[in-house]
Amino acid sequence: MKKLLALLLALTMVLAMCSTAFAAGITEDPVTLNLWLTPQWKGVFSGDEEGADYDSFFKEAAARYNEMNPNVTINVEVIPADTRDERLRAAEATDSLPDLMYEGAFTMAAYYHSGSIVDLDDIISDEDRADIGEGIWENCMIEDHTFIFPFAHMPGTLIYNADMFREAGLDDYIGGEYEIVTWTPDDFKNVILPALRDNLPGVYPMSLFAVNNQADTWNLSYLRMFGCPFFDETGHLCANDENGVKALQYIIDLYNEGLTVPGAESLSSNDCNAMFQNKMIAISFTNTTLHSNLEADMASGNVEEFDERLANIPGDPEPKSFTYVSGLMAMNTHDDTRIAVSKDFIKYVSTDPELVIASKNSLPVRASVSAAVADELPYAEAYNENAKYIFNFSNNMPGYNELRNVLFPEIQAALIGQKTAQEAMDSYVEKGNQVIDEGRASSVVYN
Amino acid sequence: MKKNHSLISKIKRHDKLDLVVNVIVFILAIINLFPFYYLLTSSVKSSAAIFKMPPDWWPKTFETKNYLDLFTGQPAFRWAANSFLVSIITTIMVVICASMAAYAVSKLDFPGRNAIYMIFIGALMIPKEIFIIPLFQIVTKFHLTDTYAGMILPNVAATFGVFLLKGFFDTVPDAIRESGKLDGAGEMTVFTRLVLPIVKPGIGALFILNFVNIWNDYLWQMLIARSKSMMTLMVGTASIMQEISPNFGYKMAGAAVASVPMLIIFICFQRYFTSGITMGAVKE
Amino acid sequence: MKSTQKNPRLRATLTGYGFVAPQLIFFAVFTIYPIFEGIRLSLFRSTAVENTFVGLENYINLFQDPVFVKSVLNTLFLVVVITVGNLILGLIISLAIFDKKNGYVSFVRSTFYLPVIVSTVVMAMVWKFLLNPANGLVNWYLTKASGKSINLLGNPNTVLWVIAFVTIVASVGTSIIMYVASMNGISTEMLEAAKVDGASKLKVCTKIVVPLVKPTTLYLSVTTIISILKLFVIIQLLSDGGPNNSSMTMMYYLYRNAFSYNKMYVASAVGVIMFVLAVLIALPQFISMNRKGGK
Repeated sequence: MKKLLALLLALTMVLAMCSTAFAAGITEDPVTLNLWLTPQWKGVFSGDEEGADYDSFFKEAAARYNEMNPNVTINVEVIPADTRDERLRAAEATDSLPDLMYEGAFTMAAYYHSGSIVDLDDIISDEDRADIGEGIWENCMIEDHTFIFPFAHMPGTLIYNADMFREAGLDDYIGGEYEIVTWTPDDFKNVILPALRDNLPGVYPMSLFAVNNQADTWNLSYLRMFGCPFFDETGHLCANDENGVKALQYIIDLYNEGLTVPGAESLSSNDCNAMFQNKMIAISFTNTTLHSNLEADMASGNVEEFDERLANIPGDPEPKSFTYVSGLMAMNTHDDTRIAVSKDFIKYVSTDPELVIASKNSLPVRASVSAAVADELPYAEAYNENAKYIFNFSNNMPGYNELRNVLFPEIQAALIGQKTAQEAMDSYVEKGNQVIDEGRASSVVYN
Repeated sequence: MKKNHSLISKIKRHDKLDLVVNVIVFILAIINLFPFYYLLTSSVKSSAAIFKMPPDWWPKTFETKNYLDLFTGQPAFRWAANSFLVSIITTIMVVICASMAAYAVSKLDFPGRNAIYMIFIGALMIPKEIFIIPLFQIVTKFHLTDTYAGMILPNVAATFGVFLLKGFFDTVPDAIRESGKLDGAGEMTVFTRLVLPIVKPGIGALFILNFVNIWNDYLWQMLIARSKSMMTLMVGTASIMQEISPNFGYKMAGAAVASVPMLIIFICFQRYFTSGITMGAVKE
Repeated sequence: MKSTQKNPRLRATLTGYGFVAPQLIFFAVFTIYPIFEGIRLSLFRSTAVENTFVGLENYINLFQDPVFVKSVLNTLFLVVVITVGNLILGLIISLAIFDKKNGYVSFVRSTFYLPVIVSTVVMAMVWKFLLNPANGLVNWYLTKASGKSINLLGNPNTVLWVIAFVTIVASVGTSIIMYVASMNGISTEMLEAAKVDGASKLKVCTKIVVPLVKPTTLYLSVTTIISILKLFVIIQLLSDGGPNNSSMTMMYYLYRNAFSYNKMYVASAVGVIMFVLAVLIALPQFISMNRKGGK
């Protein structure tokens, strides 16, 4: 309780002006808003609350908002992530979009391009801009327009089995328990992976997957490891430059030398994750959610315990990091009043000193919240330290989904030796730019 | 109903080729059972045991946890009930519509009869999946996504039943219909009281074929079922497969559970399956 | 009411249409309309910013897309291999067993029919586990036997064969059931006579049985072809169209465009092309089936 009070105090100072700004006279008439979210975290603030469910937080937020604005009711509905697109596209076609949506930024960018999400710039204050890192904001913007109010984020990293490292004599390369260790690409390829391969029979040194677009962000990160910018200033792909090709060649070499799992071209990220957890892979991928699930599974005995720690995706000159930012969006329902009320609700949820604490369930986007809950989030410091390596992997471009599906076949072709690294990247850039141009031609942002 | 009356079975002397082929067929039949054996044994293994190579051919320990997790973590019973409901209602509707239509094109005389039949028959060549987009749009427009109706109605449009049943109706002598008419019965009475009982085997065949088809349908049900509680067994099982879970035994348990209901139905009604399916297929 | 009683012709017409009406209504809404709507959609380019009539442009773009061309070839490959494999295997197994004791026949038949019963979804899942390149049983033995890592699903030369194999295993049971029943329907006198003539079983089969079950063959070829055109779940679960689109099929290409890329107009054009293809491939068998199998 004492902690909470101190926290509130700290936050209130940062967010001082917000609490008075809400509501007040957008409309007096009764308004009913619909909010959709995909499963994020259970409970209002924590999963061990009684009756904790995916809609708990927004139901609570809606109730609090309703107290201040009795004429506004908000219905909360959880929709499965894998049918999100069918549902939203159907809603677009029948003009029955929800008023509010809570989801990851990069998956929702497509709907900004199809005109279904409205700008939020007018509800974002300078304090918000300052409290939330620049890398995060980049993930939330399309051509200088903010389409999502960042709430929480979920950085992706590598994860490794430190027990296996010890067995392979790699003690020097093990980082601290709550550290995100950084290896150079050289050490990674020439020391760490070979040691794992040669000393641990029956264990594959590293996960690699390319059967579909699932978790392709890690593959995108590998491709940037030597500093390839990926997109040029016109927003087109330039991933076939020297460094991009070098990075793909690096991966192909790892694969051919038996330093990754075999058959990566037909393995999914799920397969690799399962093998890592069953001690068949030494180094794999993770993000904050997967990581906390793993820790929970170990605690409950679902997964046999081992010493798992985090690592950065190796890079030269610096490692690569990315994050999935999630937050609330106001959908374009073509009803000015409802859009205005929705935006007001978004501002309330995203800035209320108490509500924003819920972002600790993955990782808070706000420095103020991170600082306040630091002792609950042992990795927060390491992640904050890492924030400088964050790049915006999707550019929030139109047609990103299709762009994703252009990449993995090329990686497959490179892995099975159908194409050289150069050919694969050239073909990716060519097809990808076609997708980008087509996407722009059908985006309301560029037309 | 149909006994194997082949006389050749009485021939004691088999030629060599026949013997060799039969041995191979028998071995293949046994090999064919292997995936199921693998499925069932894996479903009771711990995750670590599944990853063991070479595998334990007989599980060392029997983990009921996979099944417990499945039934507590997923609405597996609900999925099975959904599958059953969707399959049975679709099938009943198909039987009603198809038998009436088949009766009409077989026995009734009206202008356009042949044209309608030809169109029905032609449509057999077009799986509904080909026009899944407009189909999906219609269902969306009627607000039938995530409903049973959305899963059921488009499948009632299939004309296979008309094709199948017409063959049966054609074999019914016109005299039966006429005798009914003489007694002053209406067309509907003649149809339900006199003709339908004669084509019962055909109805049974259609019922079984259609039921199995709908039960195993996947793509359409996957598109329509949005919420977890509306998923059918196949869709739900496939969704477990794609779930991020390190526990492969749990996924195997899902697959095993998905195969059980139909297996039971098959074992109970095996005779009808084999005779029904064939009769439906090719009427000489 | 009165006029219908006076006019038996009109009455018969009304009755006739009354009987076909339920089927016809469903058929019109869920088959006829989608066909025309699908054709219409394929002639437009509809996005968030435009909805323009583009004529055949979508089709032209499709045939310029190497992935689509590959998907057409793959689909044709699967149609041929699976249909032929399914029929030949089904026929051979049926010929081998149809004259044996009931118990044996029903054992073999049920064994092969089991995969059909437990559904393609489950079959695809099990095979996916068995074929996993890093921890699957099949790969483990292949790797052990050959000394190098082998991935049947990751090799463009083998992936389609694997898909064909799994599909055949999952569907040959239907062929066997139909063939066996159809063979049981062959008059015993005919087979007796052949036996008296001292003909070998091979001769009896090729000269008498195979020609007599031709209607079944035709029926099976039509249904198999159609079911392969819409083959979806095996591709989705086993290979996801890979590697490098080596196992992309038209149905999967359609699905991706429709439900991942939101390009309904492209998917509609694919649907129309599949429609034409279905008619072209299935029509000949279909016509002879109706001629012989019908009345």
